[in-house]
Amino acid sequence: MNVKILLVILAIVVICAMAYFTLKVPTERPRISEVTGEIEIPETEIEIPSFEEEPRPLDLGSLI
Amino acid sequence: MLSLSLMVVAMLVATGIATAQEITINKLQVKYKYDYAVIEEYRIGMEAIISYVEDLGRNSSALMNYKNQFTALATELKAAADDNDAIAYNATIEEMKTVVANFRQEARNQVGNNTEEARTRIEAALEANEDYLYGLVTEAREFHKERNTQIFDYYDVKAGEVINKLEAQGYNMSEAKAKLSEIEGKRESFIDVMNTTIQACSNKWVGECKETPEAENYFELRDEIIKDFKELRDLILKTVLDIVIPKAEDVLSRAEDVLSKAETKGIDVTVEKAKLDAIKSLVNDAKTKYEQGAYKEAIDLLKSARDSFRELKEEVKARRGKT
Repeated sequence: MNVKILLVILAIVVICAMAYFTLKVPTERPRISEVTGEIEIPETEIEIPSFEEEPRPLDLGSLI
Repeated sequence: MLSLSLMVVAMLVATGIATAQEITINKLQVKYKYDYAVIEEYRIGMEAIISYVEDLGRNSSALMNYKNQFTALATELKAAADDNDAIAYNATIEEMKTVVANFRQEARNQVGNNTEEARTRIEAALEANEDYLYGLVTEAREFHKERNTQIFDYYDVKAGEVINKLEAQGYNMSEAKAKLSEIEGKRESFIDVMNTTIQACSNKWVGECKETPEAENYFELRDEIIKDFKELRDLILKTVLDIVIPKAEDVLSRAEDVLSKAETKGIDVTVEKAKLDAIKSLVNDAKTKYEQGAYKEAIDLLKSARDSFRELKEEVKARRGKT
């Protein structure tokens, strides 16, 4: 008789343990939210033209 | 089919999309044109000396050889200019100097005490070819003008492309467009003033044109155009910064809210907050530069802020992944 009671109690314990682990809601640690947005800088490159000067005459030395 | 093509062209013109201009004449090719006039001056002088040596009944074969070397190097010089190879160009010039020095030594050996007469012969030959030589200098100036016009058109089209892209992104580019039109309005005057200078300098040798009033007019307009482009650049940067700075401040403010909320949840965000403060400082510096009119510097600071902000976002994202 005692054995039967013990088996029933054991079965209840096993069922309860299984129910606990199955239905347990995991507790979540606090999390940081996502940082969104973007510092957007469009293409703004305007190049400045440069115009060359007339060069100095080539000097290769005297012929005589 | 034809009408469809015309429609496409009309649409491209209407939307301001133009084919990018190319600068097909490089700086060395212009320099070569000027140098070529001087090279021809040397060639004519060499031929005059060779002729004089022959008149004296002396041996001109070595001089002929040097002259042929010289003209061959002139051809190499043109190839270096066409390849835009400054190193090869300068090396060839050095070789030409050596050939001229060798020629001079040999010429002195052959003419002996008659160097004055040899010089007179050179002068006479150059005088006889004066029109040809000055014509070459004028050709070089015409070529220079062509490159300047290409440069003008290239930067004009490039600026137009930037303006159109920004307009498509919703920026108000009316002031920049007006400035670009003002610059474009100076194109004809720029060409005119170059033509006038070339004409006024038709009897001036390479490098002797700068002091003329016509050249001074050219320099004045050229500098004005460069200044106009700088003003256009600043105008575009200002237009962009007017929008970008407040947007950046808003993005940082939202990021600050996120970190503050995290802090109230008990999360340690000390590192992230320090980084965000550094980014905010960059944006504040950019704002100060903007207020001072240093637009280029303001943009550069904002670019640093943008990059740091991207890093911060990645770091926060990585932390979110941790359990």
